[in-house]
Amino acid sequence: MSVATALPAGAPAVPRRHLLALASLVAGASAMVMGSMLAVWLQFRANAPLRESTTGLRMIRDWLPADVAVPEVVTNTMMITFVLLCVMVQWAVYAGRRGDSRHASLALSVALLVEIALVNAQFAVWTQMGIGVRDGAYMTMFYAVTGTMLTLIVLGTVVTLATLFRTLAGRIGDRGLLAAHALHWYALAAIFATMWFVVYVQK
Amino acid sequence: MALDARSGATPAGIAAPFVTVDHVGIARLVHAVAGLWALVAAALGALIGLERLDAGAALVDAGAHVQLVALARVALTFGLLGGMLTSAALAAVPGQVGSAALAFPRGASLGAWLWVGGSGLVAWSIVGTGGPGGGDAAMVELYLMGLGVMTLGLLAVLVVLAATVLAGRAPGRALADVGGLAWASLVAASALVATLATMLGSLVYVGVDFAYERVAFGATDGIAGWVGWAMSQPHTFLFALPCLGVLVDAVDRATGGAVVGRGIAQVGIGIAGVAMLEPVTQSTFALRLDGGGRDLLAGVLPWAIFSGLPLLGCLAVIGVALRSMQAARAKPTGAFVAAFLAVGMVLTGLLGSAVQRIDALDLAGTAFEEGALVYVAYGALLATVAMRSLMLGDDAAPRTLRLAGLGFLAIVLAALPMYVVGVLDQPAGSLGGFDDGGAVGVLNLVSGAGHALFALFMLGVGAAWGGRMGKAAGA
Repeated sequence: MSVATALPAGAPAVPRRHLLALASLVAGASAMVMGSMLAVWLQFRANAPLRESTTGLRMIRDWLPADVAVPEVVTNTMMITFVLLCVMVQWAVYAGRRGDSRHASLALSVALLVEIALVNAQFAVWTQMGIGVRDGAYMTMFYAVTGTMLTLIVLGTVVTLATLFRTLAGRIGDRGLLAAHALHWYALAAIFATMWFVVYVQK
Repeated sequence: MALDARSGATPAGIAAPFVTVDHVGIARLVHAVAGLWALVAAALGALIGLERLDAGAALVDAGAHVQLVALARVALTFGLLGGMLTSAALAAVPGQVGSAALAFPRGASLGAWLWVGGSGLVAWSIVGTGGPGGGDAAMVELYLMGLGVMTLGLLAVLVVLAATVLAGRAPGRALADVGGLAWASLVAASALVATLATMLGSLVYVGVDFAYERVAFGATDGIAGWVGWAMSQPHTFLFALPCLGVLVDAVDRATGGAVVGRGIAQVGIGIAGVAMLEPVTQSTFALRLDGGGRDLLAGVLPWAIFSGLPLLGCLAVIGVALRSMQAARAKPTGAFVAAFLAVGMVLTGLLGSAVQRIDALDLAGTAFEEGALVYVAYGALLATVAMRSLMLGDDAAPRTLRLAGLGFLAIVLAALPMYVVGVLDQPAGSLGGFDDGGAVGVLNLVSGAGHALFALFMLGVGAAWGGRMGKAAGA
């Protein structure tokens, strides 16, 4: 015997995406912090006086001091590391969708190691450049920009640690967290790419 | 002791305000500190007005003038403006989106406490001769740190508010269906996340430079140049933007939900958010009418976009409010009058900011800007009176109307004379050494009296509603 329902079905529950919204807003704020710093950096560089290039063939802006060299091997390695990091965080999302906690934990652990490597690489850049923060406007701003980027990376590492902790604790069903974590690192990768191009490539 | 926001349990005892995740509790904390900032701003405004009566004599030690002006500016912007409407939004937004709690209540609590802690650091540093143009290097560093902490706190609260509106709505409730304050808070929070983050970037530069080299960013004198835009118009307008939402809520209540053109009001609020564009460029776009053809276009277009569009947004909301009241033949309630006057004051400040940017009028660098700031900051506070009366069901009470009238009078007395002395070339931020002949001295005194009256208005608001802050939304 069929039973008539007293009330029609309510509206289907809409999946809430609190963490994705939060990650998007934090990513936007991080991008604005770095964007504003790079804008001021470019303004200072554009206003720097002209000097002859080392080849003597053309005039360039006297912004990066002639006796200071950017360690491009390390900085380029950092950029490539970010690409690897993006693959790892996406792997975690992929594993999370399939309820595969082992692979999700493995991906997040590798991501954590890669992030620690990024921090190490930033310190290597500072050590190899051998400049002091008081040595001039370029140096002051260089440490301010790269220090801010390092702070963002460290904060991201804390997010990875929290995500890994929850995944290890069996919260693999919390796909919103894995997606938000991935979004956060994609945004940081884009922010770093911009900084890398302006500060390390264009110099 | 359960601390889960969704459990409804609230912590008790001395630790309660520190660990509460209840949005009204957090709002109450922010509101109390913002109220203190408002009283500081009003007291300093009265003192500055008295000091300017005779530009040749010094009531306060002339060496402290810079600190006095700096403290008044921080009190009006990051203190009063940053706190007042944020607290109103914290209290009302969850209800307006159909949620029992904020999306990340602990994040909001952390942000609120960072803002409170930063407030203390900033006030302490300025009193200890820090701040812009300060003489004590350690106190200047403390000021920069305090301002950074305040900014981070505000950012945290705003991110939580925006996330609550975006992702915390009840099932089936579309973004277009949220209350006026919730919508305006989303627009304001999104814009402020961008501008405050921009400011944070500048603050890092200025702080690192001040701590080490002190050349690239101009040491103490450079602080105002690099981050001063955050304490002036149009950036302050973004803090005051939720006023527009409060007006929509007041109309909603007065007309029994018959708002004509709610979508237009929402679009208007969105357009008003365009005011964020000038702050993120960290530049000022003046209206230059010299030259012709492309030069004229290059002079007019940025001004029209950065200064004109926010005005247009405000006018759209006012138009919707008046049309709705007329169509419903609704009697203006105290809350409506307070919200309407608040938006009017903010609009007058914004208009002043736009006029100040007309090169030919030569108002840049004059006290005219101070008038605009007072209009915006005090006007925003008037809107919180409207919001609170809506939340407590006091919107039709005669005392709301009386308080709105008193607030309006105080704001006009405090701000309008600054517009006049600005036209008469009184320099901005200066407490002495200018020509106080004619009516200038008296006008400054009138402005000081207006600030004192505003302090009375604040006390009146406190006496009327005390620490009460209802949970019900205005809409």
